[in-house]
Amino acid sequence: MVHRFKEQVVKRGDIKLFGSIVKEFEKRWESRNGTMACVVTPAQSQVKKKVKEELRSQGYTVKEEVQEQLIGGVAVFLGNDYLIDNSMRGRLRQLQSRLLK
Amino acid sequence: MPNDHIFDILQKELAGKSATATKEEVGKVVSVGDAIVQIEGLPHAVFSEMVEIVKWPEANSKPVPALLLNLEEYTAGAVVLGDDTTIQEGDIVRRTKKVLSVPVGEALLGRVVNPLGHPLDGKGSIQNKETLPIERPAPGVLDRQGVSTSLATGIKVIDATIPIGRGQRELIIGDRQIGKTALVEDTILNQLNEPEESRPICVYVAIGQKASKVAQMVEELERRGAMDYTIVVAASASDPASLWYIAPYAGCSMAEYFRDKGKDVLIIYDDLSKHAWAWRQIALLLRRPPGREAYPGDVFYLHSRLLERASRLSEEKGGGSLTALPIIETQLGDVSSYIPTNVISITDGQIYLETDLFGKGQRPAVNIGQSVSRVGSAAQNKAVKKVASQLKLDLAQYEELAAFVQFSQDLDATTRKRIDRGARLTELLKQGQFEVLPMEEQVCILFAANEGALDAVPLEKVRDFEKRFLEHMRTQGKDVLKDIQESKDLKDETQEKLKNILHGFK
Repeated sequence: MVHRFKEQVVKRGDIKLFGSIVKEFEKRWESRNGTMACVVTPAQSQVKKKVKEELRSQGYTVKEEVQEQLIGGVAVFLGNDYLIDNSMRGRLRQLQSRLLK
Repeated sequence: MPNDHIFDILQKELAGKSATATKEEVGKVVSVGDAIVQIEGLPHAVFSEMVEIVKWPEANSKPVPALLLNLEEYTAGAVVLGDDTTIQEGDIVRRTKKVLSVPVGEALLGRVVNPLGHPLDGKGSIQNKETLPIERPAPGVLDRQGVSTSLATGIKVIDATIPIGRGQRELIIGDRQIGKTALVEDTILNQLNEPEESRPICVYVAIGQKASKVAQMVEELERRGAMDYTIVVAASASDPASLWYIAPYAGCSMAEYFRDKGKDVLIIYDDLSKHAWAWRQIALLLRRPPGREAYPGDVFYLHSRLLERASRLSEEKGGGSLTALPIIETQLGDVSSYIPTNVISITDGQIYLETDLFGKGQRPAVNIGQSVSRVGSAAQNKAVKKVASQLKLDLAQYEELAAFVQFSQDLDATTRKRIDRGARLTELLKQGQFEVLPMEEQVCILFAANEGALDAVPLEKVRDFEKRFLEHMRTQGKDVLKDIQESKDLKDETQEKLKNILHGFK
């Protein structure tokens, strides 16, 4: 199948882009399988390193992102499916929804 | 300091509670357009679940609700129930773990709400904790009983010839600008004539109507005191198609709450052709295959499952009823196109309004020959039944002879008499908007017509005669009116009394 795909790409004259196709495919594959983890923290964070190590040891491919709006703490996306939120912003939202009830 | 006070309350409220890390299922928006979003993720979402689309982690973004309608292996398709212009690729989708529900209960009476149950009338929020899902199964065979009581519309031609029963589904069909909405508006207003304990609660669902028209109607209902028992669910012309689509189901759930409490409810869907358009739009955007007239394959089921929820419940289930009056707008009187035929076959009869009659000044422009009520006289009380049978016969004979009206000179006396009677009856069945008549008054005037009291009245004076006669009845024949109203029958002695009054009145 891979061979036929390559033939198709050559036919279309897009062989130069093959490297980025593979990269994009890997990215999609990982997020679909849920093995891609995205760690979001504010710029200064002590826990970032520890969280990343822990995730790696569990077999995740780790990506990181900086979001100043979190204020503090850390939030982790597992694939496209789950969000583990332990950020200051997330806690404030919990507080807000509890008070509005 | 007021702040200290607030701190105190906060401390008390939040004592012993802590905010911890949360794990939740989310999805990501991969594409958005035409009020449809494609979402990746949401591994355990269920069909018809409400989801919220938010900008993460922004604090002040308002969540946009959406409804999941397509579930595939990795992606899900949802329709946005709100403003889709703020949604971007990469936004986070949160589950609510609830199928789409609307608030229900007494607090909604007298209110104008959108299909999600949010108030539109500026009378403050709706204090109600109870909700019901918008899609609910219809009552089964054993939970129902036959239709046996009438739902008075206050319109002579309908109550006498095409009676509607409580728990029935009666379609109102006709071209634009022909008085379909006026007819149902009168029906809502007429419920004022019902005694309060058996007065049906009315739910008016406006689908794709002009907001100005809805506002006008609400104002009229309010002025006449009919909003006290009415809920208006409005998805106006500028609302997204997704709201048009859910409006009748939402209205139906609000009505079912009262039905399940043993009350009588009347629900009006104005109109279902626009509802079908909305569903066609959504289905095509979700890339479902189009069928006849580009409607999706489930457009019949779309309406049948909605109208099947109209029912008369058995006594064990509380004996409540839900009467549905769907409205269909035809193009140039074409009742044989797709959606009209569908809905005709689902309902228990139709009231057919005709442009020709409307043009001739026959208002309401009901074509009696083409209209039927499959529940029929089971839904009429004895008094109306007694006067209506003669009326129907006379009208049918008149229809047959109407073609000969032109050469009326050459006809024999009996035929002439029939034509004259028929013409006067037709004239009598004309009724202006907001001129609803309670059952007992209808019985009296139709009785008078059957007795031949109109035969001597010139054609153009018939309506004037009716007005004067009813005025006379209200003053001189109070006991007769009261007797008919209470016994719901026209006994022989009442007939005698009525005849006497009739002779005395000229």
